[in-house]
Amino acid sequence: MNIKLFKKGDLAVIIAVAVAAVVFAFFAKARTDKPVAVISVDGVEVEAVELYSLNERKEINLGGDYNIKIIAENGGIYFEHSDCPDKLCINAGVLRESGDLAVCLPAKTVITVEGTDVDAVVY
Amino acid sequence: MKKNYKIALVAILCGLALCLGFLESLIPPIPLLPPGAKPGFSNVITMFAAGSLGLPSALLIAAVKGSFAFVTRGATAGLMSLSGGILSAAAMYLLMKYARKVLGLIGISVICALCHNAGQLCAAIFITDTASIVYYAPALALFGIATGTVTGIVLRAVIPALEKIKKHFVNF
Repeated sequence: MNIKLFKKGDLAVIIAVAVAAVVFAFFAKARTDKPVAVISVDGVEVEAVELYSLNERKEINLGGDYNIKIIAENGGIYFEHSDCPDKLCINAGVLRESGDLAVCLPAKTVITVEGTDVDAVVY
Repeated sequence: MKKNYKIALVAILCGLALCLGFLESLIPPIPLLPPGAKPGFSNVITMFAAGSLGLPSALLIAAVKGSFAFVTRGATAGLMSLSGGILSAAAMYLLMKYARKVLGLIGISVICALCHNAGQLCAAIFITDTASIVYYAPALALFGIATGTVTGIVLRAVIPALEKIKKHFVNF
């Protein structure tokens, strides 16, 4: 197989991808005040938790085939329990800022943190 | 190469890819990385197959990896492996064939890592019916640059060894 290890084009690819990723991430994270966590199962929103106004620990038992249990507290939210094989949802850790997300693929359950734009400047 | 020798060679490469995939699964999850993100060592084998044996062999290796994930880790894992594997194998073949004048192994490998991510993101969005999973894209892309670069370098290093295995089958 006669292909060089590195060519100038490679550098262009890497820089273009890195810049695109950073710009995308910047806009995804830009709206961070008043984060709201949205839990959806199979594309249907089942619960929205206003993380910024949360004063007590909140347990959300979704049940289902995988006994999903989600905990929201102290401005963060995370998967506490799932019977899925990989536990990627639990390993995603605590979500706090808009743009953060955790997914349990087998249970089709997604938690996303979104920013609320409702309190834009009021004149 | 006679057809049955090629089948045997592809089978050996499948075995190598599965072994690398298993060894990779022993690495504990690393915090800060997007959950589920893996280095993808076995892509070294798929890339060699795409460049040296052609598209069908590369696709077959991706399909075997996907089936293995399906049997050992369940339907979701199988679908995720297959969606990323098939797309990146096709990208490997096309880039190695048509882009070798502009891109080196590192660039090709990085683009293939991104194709792998894109395929998996689409599958995940399809499974969960939730489009906001695209927020994973930036983290995955940055991680893909790193793993793609490593894969390209490792491939360059092991090409002689893999060519030697291939030679046994050609000169049988």
